[in-house]
Formats: sequence, C-alpha cells, structure tokens
Amino acid sequence: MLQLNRIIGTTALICAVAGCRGGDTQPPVAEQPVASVQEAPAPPAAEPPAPAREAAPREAVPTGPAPEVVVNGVRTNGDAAVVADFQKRVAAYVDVKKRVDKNTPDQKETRDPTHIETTQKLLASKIINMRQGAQAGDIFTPEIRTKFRQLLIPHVQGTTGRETRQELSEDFEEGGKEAGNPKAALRVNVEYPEGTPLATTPPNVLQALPRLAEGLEYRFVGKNLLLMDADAKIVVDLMPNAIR
Amino acid sequence: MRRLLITLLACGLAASLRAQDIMLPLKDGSVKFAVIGDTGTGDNHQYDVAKVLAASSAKFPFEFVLMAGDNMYGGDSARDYKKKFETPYKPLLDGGVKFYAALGNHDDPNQRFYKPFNMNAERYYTFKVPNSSVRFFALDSNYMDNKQLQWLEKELAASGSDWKIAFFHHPLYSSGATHGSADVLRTQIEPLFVKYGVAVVFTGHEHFYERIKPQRGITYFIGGSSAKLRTGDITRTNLTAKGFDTGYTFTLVEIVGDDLMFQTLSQRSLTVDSGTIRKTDVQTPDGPRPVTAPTITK
Repeated sequence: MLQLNRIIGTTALICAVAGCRGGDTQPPVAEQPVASVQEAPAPPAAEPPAPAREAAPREAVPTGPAPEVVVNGVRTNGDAAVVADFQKRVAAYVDVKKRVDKNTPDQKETRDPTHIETTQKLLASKIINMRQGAQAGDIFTPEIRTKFRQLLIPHVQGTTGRETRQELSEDFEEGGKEAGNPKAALRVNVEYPEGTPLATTPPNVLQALPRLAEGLEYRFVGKNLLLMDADAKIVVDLMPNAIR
Repeated sequence: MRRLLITLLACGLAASLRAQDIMLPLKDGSVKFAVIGDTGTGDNHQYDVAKVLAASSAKFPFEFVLMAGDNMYGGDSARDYKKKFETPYKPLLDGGVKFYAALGNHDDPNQRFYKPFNMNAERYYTFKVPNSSVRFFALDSNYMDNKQLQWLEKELAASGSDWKIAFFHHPLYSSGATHGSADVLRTQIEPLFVKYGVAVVFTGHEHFYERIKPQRGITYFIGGSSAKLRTGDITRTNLTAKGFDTGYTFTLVEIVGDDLMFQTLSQRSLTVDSGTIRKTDVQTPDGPRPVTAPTITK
C-alpha cells in the first residue's frame, strides 16, 4: 500500500511539476458569425484582509530536484516522500470520517431543506468532536507547505499566473453582505462560515496539487489554502500564504 | 388543474404588466425553456423578475427553467430556500415547471440534494428533454477537477443529440469590468465544447446580460442579472454582440429543428435582445465532425 501511495504520489508530483494541464490561455477571438447577423432592434429602453491564525514564515521556496531520502528503508525522491506523507495524513482523516459516517444518515434528495442542513451539521459536529485538538499543520506540515508552494508557483506567478491569481481572489472582492465572513474560515476543525462564498479553485491549480479523496476539496480564502470537507462543510486544515 | 391555475395566475400578472411582445415562433411541440441567473437574493428585484417570468409563461408556456448559479446568496437555511426560491417562483412551481440548477460560487454544494433543483444529487449532471434531440450539460465551474472533465468528455462523446447546450456559472468570455472572462477555465472546457459540438452556453456570475459574438462556433450568453445588477459594468470590447447592463433580465428560448430562437426580456417586460441561432454541421480537414456553427438571424 505504501508502495502504491508512493507511486501515486510520484506520478502526481511529476505530473504537477511537468505542468500536466491544458494549453495556454488563448486570447478571445472577435470572431464574426458564420452568416450575416440581423439582430433585433435595440431596446427602448480587495480582497479583504484574511489574517491567518498563525504568522506564516516567509520561507524560501526551493527549486530544482529534491534530494533523495530514505522512507521505510526505501531510497526515494524527497518530493515523492513529501507527497506520500500528505496522502497518508489525508487518508487518516478519511478514516475518521468513515467511522463517523457509519452512524450518520446519508444525504439524499429531498424537498425539505431542513433535512439537508440537519444532516450536514450532524456530520460536521461528529467529525469536529472526533478531531478535538486538531491544529493547523496537522496535514499541511512545514515540508508539505513548502512543496505545495513550489507546485503552485508556476501557476500563480508572472503574467501566466495573473489570471489564476485574479480568479482566486475575485470572489471575495464583491464586498458587502455577499462576501460573508471569510476570516472566520481561517480556523481548523470548524464549519465554514455560512453565507461566505466559496472561491473558485482554478482547474490548473487543481491539476498541480495531489489528488484528493472523494468529498475533500482544495479551496482558497485569499492567499490561504484550505483543505475542505465538502460534505460536512468543515475546514480540515489550512495553509497560510499558499500563494504570494 | 395546476396548469390551469398557473395559466390563470400568469394571465392576471400579464394583464397588470406592460404588454409583452413575445416574438418566438411559439410552435407546438417545440422545446421551450427559460434561463435565469444569480437569482438568490430574496429581494424585490428577484421577485419583480420572477413575476414577469411567470407572466411570460402565459404566452410562452416553457416547461423548464435553467438556473446559472448563485441560487442562494448569504445562507442556505430552510428559510432561505423558501424566501429565495420557493416563494418567488411559486406560480411556476405550482404549474409544474421544473427548475434545473447549476452551482455558483455563493452556493453550498449540498444544494444538489434539494429535489426541486433536479440535480440528481450531483454537482454536475446531464439531462435530455424527452421526445427531443436536445441535451443539457450542467457543470460545476467552481471546481473543475479532472474527474469532472473526464465525466464531461465521456458524456459529450456519448451524446447523440443534435443540440448540446451547456450551462454553468462562470462565463468563459465576458466584457465585465468586475470579473471578465474565466480564461483558465476556458482552456480546460472549451476544447471539449468545440470537439463535441456544443452550440450554445448559458452562464451567469456577471450581473448583466451579454451575448458574445460566436467564439469557435459557439454562442455564449451571460445572464447573471435576474436579481442582481451591476449597472455600467460592461466594458467596450470586441466580444459583445449585445450587452445590457441597465436592467434585470431573463431569457426565453425555443428550439425548433436546427433553429434556436431566443428572446431576452427586462423586468419591465421590454425586449432586450432576440434572434435565432442556426445549427449547421462543419467539415474539417479530419473529416466531418459533429461541430455546430451558429448563425444568428433575426
């Protein structure tokens, strides 16, 4: 199993580092309709501050190949070991959720929204209770944070990364009541604040990071990366200043 | 009986509104639907548009409504569902009109379990209109991961439908000053739309109405102004076929054979935009492909 994890991790990492994604952004084309256009006549007619709970050190993000390390007696690439460690920690969370899930009613289609909310909150409360004492960094360890920042750099820096950065931040720039309270999301093992929009996670970012188990998601609040349980709507872990 | 009720109610509403000039062909047996976006405010603007939408159903009896996301702003409690969906659209719901929702960035993904949104408990899904050759693809543009991309390609490839129509929240092309085009998302999904012949895409997110000039053979609509409005947000670009950012809107659509007719109305029941998109097969150097090329005529 460890070997399998290692292979998956290595594959994900190589894929991410190699930039396994779609083509480059193409500028929109002012294409003309195939045939003539006869239209109907004209009618008469900042990103908020998102302070993390903990001060994120301005770590230097290393570049280049990672040194070899020995994991369980096996010599391996250091990057692969870090990703494998991340997946192991995620798997541990999934195990907790499965144990809780056994005794929690499943979500199913209903005309009664109360049922949806009640089921979600019950699952959330059980997971939160089981994970009492969970802290930021339980999953996003310092090594994993460094690696994730390294993986994200090509997608969020420079001209190419401008669109990605914009998409990550714009959902919180609408202001007013719409923006909810994103700061409240920057805590671990709590429910994501109700009414706060979920920032879109651009597809290139999703492809750069290791795949997650069903029900888990990467979400951003400003520059901070959250590991979210989408079923329970809880913040599993957070990584301050994932992008800079 | 329910049909009769909605007809009576809609007739009453229609009488109280300015006369609508619904110009679609209004043919028997055609596929008729409406499109709304960014609706879930629960305020007067949403209710005003909902009234005109219900009134329009008297003359144009659409069978279903596409929702382009942001179905629920500021919370998802049972009270929110009532105030922001069940009450404003009650005449339509009572009349048997079905709603098909896509998720926006303000939506809790657990909305997929809400039966009246007809999402089959999935964040992205597809459905075909019975006895027609029209298939819809509802996407979750908030989280376009590999799993969803693979699903989309598989479903598009398997669809033998003549008309493939996608709807989701974030516009791939937009002249909006606030958001603009979702460029990164576009690199992922537009190639699939082109490859498998998606002809028309409906989105929201921008709080105005914009019809984009056909891009790679696809006509894109933005209609996130069914309850929210960002006045003056459309910037001057060479993308715009028609823009309207001074009023709230919804769009009526009718498909007859290879023609898709659309008419966008404001909350004052005035026609903002209308036209016809004609679907044609395209020959490529690799041979014939099921790509559609829209033609817009009056």
